[in-house]
Amino acid sequence: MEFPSKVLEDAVNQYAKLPGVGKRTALRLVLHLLKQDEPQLQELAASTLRLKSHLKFCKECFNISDDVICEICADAGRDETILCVVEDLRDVMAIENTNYFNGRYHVLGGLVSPLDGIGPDDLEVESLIQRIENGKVKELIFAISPTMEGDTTSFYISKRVKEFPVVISTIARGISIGSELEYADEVTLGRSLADRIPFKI
Amino acid sequence: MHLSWLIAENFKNSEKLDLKFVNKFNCFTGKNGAGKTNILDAIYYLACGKSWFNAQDSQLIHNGENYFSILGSFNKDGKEDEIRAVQMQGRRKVIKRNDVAYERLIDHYGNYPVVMIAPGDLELVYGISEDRRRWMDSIICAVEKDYMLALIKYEKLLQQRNAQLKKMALENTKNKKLVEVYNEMLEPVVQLIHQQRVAFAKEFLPYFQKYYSLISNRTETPEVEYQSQLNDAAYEDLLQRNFEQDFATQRTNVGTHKDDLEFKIQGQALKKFGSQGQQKTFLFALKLGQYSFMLARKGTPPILLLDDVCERLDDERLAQLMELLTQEEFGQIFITDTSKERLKKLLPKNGDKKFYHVQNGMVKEEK
Ligand SMILES: [Zn+2]
Repeated sequence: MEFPSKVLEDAVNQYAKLPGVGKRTALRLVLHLLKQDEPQLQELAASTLRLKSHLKFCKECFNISDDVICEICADAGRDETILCVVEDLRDVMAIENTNYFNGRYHVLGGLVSPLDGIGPDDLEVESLIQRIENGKVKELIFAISPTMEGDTTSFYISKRVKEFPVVISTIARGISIGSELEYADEVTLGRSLADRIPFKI
Repeated sequence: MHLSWLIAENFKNSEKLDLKFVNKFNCFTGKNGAGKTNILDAIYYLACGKSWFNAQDSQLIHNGENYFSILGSFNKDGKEDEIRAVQMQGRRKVIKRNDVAYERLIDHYGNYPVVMIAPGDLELVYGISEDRRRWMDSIICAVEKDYMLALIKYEKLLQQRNAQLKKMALENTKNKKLVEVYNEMLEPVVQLIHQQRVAFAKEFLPYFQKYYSLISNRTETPEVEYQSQLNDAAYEDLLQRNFEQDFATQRTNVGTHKDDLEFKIQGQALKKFGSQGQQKTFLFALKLGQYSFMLARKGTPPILLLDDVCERLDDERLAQLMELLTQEEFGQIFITDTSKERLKKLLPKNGDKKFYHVQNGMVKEEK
């Protein structure tokens, strides 16, 4: 793609780095931004920067949070013996929407995929082991997408926690979870949590 | 099964093809480079959902255009199935059956069995083990859907395992936990692939041997032997034993991706000791054996595509081959040749046949 302006080209290239955005879409977004007035653009830039400067990850579950401990972990009414292990924030939001789950979460921050340079040490796996070592956790529920990377991650964690007296279960197969979890309808998702099955390889 | 008609746009060097076929011999003649092979490839593409030449789909688009499409109708037990394959520049290809797009392209493969015999077959003798594996896989995939899924999974798992070995070298750690996870995930997949290949080799052999003796008229025994590290060791043990080597080379050194087929005549390696005549006979027997195997498993005669075979066989063998092809077992056949006169002489006087003249990617039906 040939651009008449270097400034335009730089902006397009930045937006084209976003997942699911190709050059054409990036150009459309940038041309749209050009029509906005300055304060609007400033707020866009500032809110983007605040993502890095103000957002925190909860020290307990590693979910995205405005505080050191997130609302869910700070809620004494929630069962700390059951942890739902998920890939990212979207899964937490989807499960919270069902209003079914009263345990807590552990957010891995991704799935194991060496091809993408992601090993277990790049995820919140050690911190999960530590939470289990602390002794309060009795059950882990894997709510991880049934892809190869998801399976690898579940399998790896199950091997790591074998020595601890925790029950591992997984939400029923066949329902779309992971990045699609947010689209799963609430009743189905709630039921699959209720009908969770023992984890097997 | 037969292909009733085909309409293609912008496929390789042809702007437009619009052809109606007969149920037996369809002959395409013309000079080298006229586009005869492309017609066979268009038929192959329609049947298999990909080019016979392992080419990238975008490279198959006619110069200067931004898409190609192939439309045709396969007649299976009297029922017409319309297949449409479309590749737009920069888009994912779409294949439709009776106007309904396949959700997964792999669901198309194997529904319309086809066998191609082409000059490139020589790679089966002279090429690397991957050429022979790919040929074997193309046959098993057409008859076993689980096998195709296992191959895809195996490939992905292997890539992840190799990436992990590289990552370990990079981070200078010998922590094997994740590699062991991949080992355990690979195990059932490897077993399925190995079992299917063993079964194929066993079932295929008699078909192949039958055609070898029919074409060669000789009593020597040809063999196709399936070679695999898994033939005499358990996968788990192989992985254990090879871990140090895997770690040092940063890739997986054992598994079904190392399998091969060994071709022999009277116990001797075909590539080394076979005469040219024996090698050619061997190749034709492999392909005709493939034909019979697929016929038996699919229950319908595959379409046979013969590219430039007359140039590659001596007169006696050629006559024998044509004699074979007129038999009932063989259904619809597409042949290319540079010489119309030669083909006319070879084919039976009476019988279902049609000639087409090919020039600069254009095809004219001859009366
Ligand atoms: Zn938390």
